[in-house]
Amino acid sequence: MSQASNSQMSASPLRNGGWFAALFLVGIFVPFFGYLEHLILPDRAADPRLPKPKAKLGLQDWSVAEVSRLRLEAGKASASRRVLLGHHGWMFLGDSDVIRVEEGLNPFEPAELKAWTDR
Amino acid sequence: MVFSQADFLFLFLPIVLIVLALAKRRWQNVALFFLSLGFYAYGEKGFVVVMVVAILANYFLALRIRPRDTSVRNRNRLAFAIGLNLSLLFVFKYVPFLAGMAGVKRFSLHLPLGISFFTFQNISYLVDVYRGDVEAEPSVLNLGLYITLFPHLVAGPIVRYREIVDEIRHRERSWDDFIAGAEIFAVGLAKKVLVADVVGRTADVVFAMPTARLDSPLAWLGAWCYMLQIYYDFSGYSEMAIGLARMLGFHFPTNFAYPYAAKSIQDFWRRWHITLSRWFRDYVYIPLGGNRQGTSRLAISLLTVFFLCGLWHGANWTFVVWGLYHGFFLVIERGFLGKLLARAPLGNAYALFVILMGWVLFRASDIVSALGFYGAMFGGAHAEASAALRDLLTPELVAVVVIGSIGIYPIIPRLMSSPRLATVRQFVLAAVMVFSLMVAMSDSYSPFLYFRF
Repeated sequence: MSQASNSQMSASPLRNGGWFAALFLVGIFVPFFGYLEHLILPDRAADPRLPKPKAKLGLQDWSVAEVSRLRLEAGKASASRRVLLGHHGWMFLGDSDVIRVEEGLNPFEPAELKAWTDR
Repeated sequence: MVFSQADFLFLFLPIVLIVLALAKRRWQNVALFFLSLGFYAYGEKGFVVVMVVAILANYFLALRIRPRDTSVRNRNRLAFAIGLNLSLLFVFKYVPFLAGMAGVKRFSLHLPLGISFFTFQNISYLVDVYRGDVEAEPSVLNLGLYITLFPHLVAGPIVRYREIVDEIRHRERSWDDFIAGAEIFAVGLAKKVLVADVVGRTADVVFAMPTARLDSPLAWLGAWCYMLQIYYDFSGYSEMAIGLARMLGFHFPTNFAYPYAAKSIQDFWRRWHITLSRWFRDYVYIPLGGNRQGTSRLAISLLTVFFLCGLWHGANWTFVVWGLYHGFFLVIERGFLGKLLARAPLGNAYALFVILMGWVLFRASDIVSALGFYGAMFGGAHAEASAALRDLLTPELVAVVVIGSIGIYPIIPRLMSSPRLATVRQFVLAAVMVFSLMVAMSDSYSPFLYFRF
């Protein structure tokens, strides 16, 4: 009985968690084939005078958009380290010192202040 | 290349699976060896030569070592072989540190990825050959594959040759192993991209702030986030390595067993980076005398082991002090504290507190910064830090910290272990895996913490 059920289970690769491994393979091969397609097949719609766009993984644009949307809407967090979220929907470019300067947290050193006033 | 990087997940891994599916059995090891070298060369370029030299040197040196021969000549051969491996580690990892201490400025060497891990693996192979636990490998390809096998190459687990030699020589790849491997890999990937990277961003912000601008709540948040980050990052990496190996037909040893659920520091080291702990136990602690020593000799052995353990993690005084700090608690637990902890119900709280304080030392750039951070943790609150805390505490961070803090205990696996919940468990895991793959595709480069060691 148990031998029969074992052989039945091994007959279908999607049984006994096999569907999970299949989903995993789909998850890594769809972006892979998308990349190959982008790499091999020329983009006919693109303007030939423009530089060739960088090859992207399959579903990459969709993934980036959905993950960013979820993090912003549910987690109230920015999906990029370069973008800071402020109150009331404001966004700031995070790789500059503008916010610290605005908050007065980055005052001039005495020498810098002198150099600025002496200009 | 790191396992959570898009290049690995969506380009390298599919290529590996296609090549191994097409290669005949006798070409499997050749294919895997060259793919592993390619994996290493992708990030390290010319340093792949160092790897090839290490393979050839260890291959010939091991063949010269006679098993179970304790003659001076044979011991010298072993000592020479170990010395050669250690000198490689010493040159790349510790010479720049010593040069800095000696006041030599602008001297730096690139640290080849994973050098600490593969050096320890090579030493374990040589010592095991000397002890007669394994025979010296007659095939340079098989030894090369053991050293370079990409799942464990750059950050462990530290796998011993005898653990995988049979699978290197003859292995059966099965769909069941692939399923198990994919599940373990998915859990590791989720730990890395859904927990470690989120709490890591907060830890980075807090530890980058001048300690004078920190206050107690902010410093505790930063320390707790770092504690979660280093666990989820490293255990996630280890699980990804174990899962990948399983998909390829190899069975790697477990590297983490809920270390933050430990009830003492001794217990912690039985659960944290298990393959490193047992390496130090078998190749340093036991040769130093092990448990069969007087109290003072035992204390010296423990402190020596943890001094070396700290030094292995990095060429910086913070790591050395961190190692000795753990060694100190192990010594006092062997003395009076162990008996007290066995009776007290708060063993886990004690262990977590000691571990957390240790991670501050581990994360800080130098001892002075660590002391400043401790000062902030036990100081008061102030307005600027409170504003920063409010900004950092997004719903995303709160959710991840809560889930991450629950996940350090084996609660979820126990709840899900019922056979009735097997399908639910797999659907949850599938959803988490799909989301983790999407995050991995979206995220910019995020290296694993243990790569620097």
